[in-house]
Amino acid sequence: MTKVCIPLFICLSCFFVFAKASPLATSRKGNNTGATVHRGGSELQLHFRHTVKDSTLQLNNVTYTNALGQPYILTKFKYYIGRIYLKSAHGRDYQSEEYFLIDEEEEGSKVIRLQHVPPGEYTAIGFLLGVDSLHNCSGAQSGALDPLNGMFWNWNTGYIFMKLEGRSPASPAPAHLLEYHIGGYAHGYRHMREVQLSLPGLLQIQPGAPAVVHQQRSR
Amino acid sequence: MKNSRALLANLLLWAAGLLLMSLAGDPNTITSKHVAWKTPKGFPPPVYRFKDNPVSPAGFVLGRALFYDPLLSRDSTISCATCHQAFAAFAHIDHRLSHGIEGRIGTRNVPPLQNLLWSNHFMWDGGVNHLEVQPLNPLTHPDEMNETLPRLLAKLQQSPRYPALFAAAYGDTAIRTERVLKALAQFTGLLISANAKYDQYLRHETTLSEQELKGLRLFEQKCSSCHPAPFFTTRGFANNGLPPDSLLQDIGRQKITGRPEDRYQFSIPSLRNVEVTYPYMHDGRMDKLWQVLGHYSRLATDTTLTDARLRAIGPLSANEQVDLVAFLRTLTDRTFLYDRRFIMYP
Repeated sequence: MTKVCIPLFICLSCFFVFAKASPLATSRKGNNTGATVHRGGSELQLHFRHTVKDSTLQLNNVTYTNALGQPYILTKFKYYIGRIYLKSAHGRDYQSEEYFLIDEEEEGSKVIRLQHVPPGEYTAIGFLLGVDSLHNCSGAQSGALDPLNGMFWNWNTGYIFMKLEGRSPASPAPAHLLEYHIGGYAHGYRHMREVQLSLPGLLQIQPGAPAVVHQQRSR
Repeated sequence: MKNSRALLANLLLWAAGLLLMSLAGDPNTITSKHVAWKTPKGFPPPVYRFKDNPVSPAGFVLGRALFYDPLLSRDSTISCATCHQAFAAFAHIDHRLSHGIEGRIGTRNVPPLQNLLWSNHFMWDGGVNHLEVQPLNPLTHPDEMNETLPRLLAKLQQSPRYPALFAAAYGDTAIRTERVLKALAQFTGLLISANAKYDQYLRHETTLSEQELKGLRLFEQKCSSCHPAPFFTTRGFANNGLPPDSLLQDIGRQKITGRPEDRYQFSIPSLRNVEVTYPYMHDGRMDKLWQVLGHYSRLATDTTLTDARLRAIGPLSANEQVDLVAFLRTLTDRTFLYDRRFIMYP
């Protein structure tokens, strides 16, 4: 079994854009997202693990401290991943058009299963963090993109790409809430991010030869 | 003798009436003939083309049932049709600001629903980009229906009526957000108004009076840079020189774009059926067309204007204003206002 565990730096940069606008500064080393790539036959599994500094993210229970020494807890962490692709020496050999909503509260959502991944030797994995503009302008949709999931702005149409919520005594908002809702697809407000992560060595996908790639990296 | 004859005649008349009524059938019946539509002459191709949402009689019937059902609001007191009345081109006649459950009042005037297939944005600030997702706003807004999607879907699933309507429209009884919204789009999309006296005049089916023609010429000179045919709007946004309301503090388009230059800009409304969609302006502050014309007439001397097009309108003489109103009335489409397909009979 080979495993790749990759921190999603892009998540961090989204976080910063909005953290700056807030009176409450949050740690730059605040949250990492780790992804693990498994493989079994032609099914590719991506396992997402969220970390704060070096420990696994825990909602509600753990008080974290940001760079300014301000304590906070986190209560919600959800985000969209879509257009996952695998890159080999020849280019993009596999591209999924599906969107997935990853929710820290739902274990099942943290494992993405991609079917029918063609055999090959892959060097990198990429995806979109957020929702592309076409899907922000396509009207009513189902599945991960169902507005029922609470990741949709009605009054200014568009998906919320990432929600990070919590509480901090340092927050001047009502009930000391922390709410980072990040989205935006229009010109000047494009907040989706292309992420491409090099795999440590080749990921070989062959029928009937299970393997797991694992690598943990931290900032 | 005379009496019994009169009685017999009366009875026969009743019988004939009943027979006619039964022949006419259920007034809510919709067949494929009722949902067939085409782009009216002179209209461009539509923006919303029912892609992935083909119109069917059952889909339209479901959309209409939802539109007229107070179940959609949190306390089942108001429906879409409460504020969107067919006879007012689906605006809310004589109500300045939107009304919601428990007597709550919103901050903007209810717009008419017409020719929505040709619109690339919705709401006074243009914040909504697609016909299908527009209803999410009134459904969930605290000052309107104040409902949540999970609760709404549960209510529809538990209703004795909806599973069958969804099955008829979609082939099975599953009730999902996408199906609710697409059915509503089938109903609201077919609200097409293109048979006003003005349209008939363009098609050489009728003539305009001398006064209406004078009004039309004036309109083309003074108004059509913002309100051009065939929709009588550019679909753009403008600050039309109204002093901002100090209580509503509505910054308009800027709320969506964040751009300071969009402050106090609102969607330029269509003038089709303008006669019956009073009150006017985004906050419904004017009740009569002559007040609207008076406002534009006075702008000739307004030094605070941000939009130069407005200065070219006025001043308008009393005669010119009367002619303009005469022309604006030719935009009233009574076939549309009283179209039985768009009304739900109990």
